[in-house]
Amino acid sequence: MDPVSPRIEIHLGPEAIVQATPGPEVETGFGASCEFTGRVRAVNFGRKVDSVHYDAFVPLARSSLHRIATEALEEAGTDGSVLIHHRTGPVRVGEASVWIRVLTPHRDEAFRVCRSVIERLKHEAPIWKKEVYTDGETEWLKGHSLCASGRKS
Amino acid sequence: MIKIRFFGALRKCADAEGFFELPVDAGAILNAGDLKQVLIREFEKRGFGSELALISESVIADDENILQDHEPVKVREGLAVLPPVCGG
Repeated sequence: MDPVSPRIEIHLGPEAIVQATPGPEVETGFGASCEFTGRVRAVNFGRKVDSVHYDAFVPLARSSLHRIATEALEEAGTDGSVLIHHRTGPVRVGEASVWIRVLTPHRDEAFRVCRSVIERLKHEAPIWKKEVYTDGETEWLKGHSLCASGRKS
Repeated sequence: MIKIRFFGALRKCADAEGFFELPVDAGAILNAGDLKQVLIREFEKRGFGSELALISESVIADDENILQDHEPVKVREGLAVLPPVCGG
């Protein structure tokens, strides 16, 4: 198979996530597809959640996610395609807040890249979430400091 | 005086658009860590004591880079303060 340049798509915005089927141009040469969908839970640490409001530093988040996807493919030593869609603004319980789809020639790399992308997204992308509870209270969730990451975005 | 952007839990200390005025001249060059110290002093003045720890855990950034505390930064509009992240 001829090498295929990594194809990376980043969507960051309030639009609902549509989990589209890959087009035929992407499917060529990629026998494995691995997807991760993160949804808003109805209960978190015992509190009933109504929705989650996502805040993002969009320009830096976009470049961070692109770098994370590129490095995940490099570390797995594979060609591939990575699509990341992360919501901003309010997301209701049950709705998807993040969707990652990885296409690679073989399954092992697809799993590894997908796992790497979601784990690093949570630790490195400048995105924050505020839970809105059914009793009307709100709380910004504690997260991971970028001080210790030692990475430039 | 310049305006910098706050995100996440820091937004409660900013104006409605997420901006916070800082008494530093535009064009001044400070280490990112020193800029955070200016922020801490300003938070103390304005009574944001409960958010001081959040500043210590935050980083200074622009649209393209996260700046570690030892890195110099030219003070300008558009700088951002990023508290610990939790996307996904």
